[in-house]
Amino acid sequence: MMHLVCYLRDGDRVFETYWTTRRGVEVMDYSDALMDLTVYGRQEPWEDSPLGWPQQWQADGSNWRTNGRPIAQWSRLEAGRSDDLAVGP
Amino acid sequence: MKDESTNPGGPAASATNAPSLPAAVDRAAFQAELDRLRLREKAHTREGDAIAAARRRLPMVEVDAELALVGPQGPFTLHEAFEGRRQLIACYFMWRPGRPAPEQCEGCTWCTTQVAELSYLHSRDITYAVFCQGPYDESSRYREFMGWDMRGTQHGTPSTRSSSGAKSA
Repeated sequence: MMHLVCYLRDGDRVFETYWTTRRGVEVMDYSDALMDLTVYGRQEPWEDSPLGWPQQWQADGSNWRTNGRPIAQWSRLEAGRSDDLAVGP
Repeated sequence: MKDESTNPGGPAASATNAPSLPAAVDRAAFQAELDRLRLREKAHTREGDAIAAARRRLPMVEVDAELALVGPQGPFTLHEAFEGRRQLIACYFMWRPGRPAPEQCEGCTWCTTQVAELSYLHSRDITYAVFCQGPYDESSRYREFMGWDMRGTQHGTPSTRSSSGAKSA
């Protein structure tokens, strides 16, 4: 599970002042936040929407994927970047 | 005509029915409804402020300042990850060691991609870092692929989560 953790430094010492996870990490997002301003919202079935509203994006992680990849990877591939993570000589 | 342009590869909206529409009303009626919603939005904003005020009054817990990380210059510590600033926000990315890019975490990718401008955090003496568990070289390649080149972002690999309190529940 992804976490956000806030630390405070006091000289050489480090303290944790806050952490969050799950929907707490939505503070990093603007896409869902902007979608929440639109009439159809995130288009996910858990949302309380009027009958007939589009809700085809399942909130199970697949809502951040298209064609088998995290959505943001596609623009990188289109820009000609390699997605090879192998560390070669 | 098949229309995939707005949603390539995503789940198809109902193919036969156009989505339903809200009721169309005149401007005054629309504004009256929006004004009603605005009251709730303002209450929500103020409640968010109150929760943030409580957050600023939480105590703190000491963690291991020497937590080992790996970055572009080799090993470094959690303390060094602050880069001399007073505060550090760390995003713990769920790296999947040995897995190819398409199998990396879609939720962490969604969040990480959107944090692109750090100068405002820096102006408040806050460093931002992304930590992945797993081989540094792999996640570093992913960072390169994704173009996450925010200047001054720490990117490291901790051997363990540096918080004793956080549960992955």
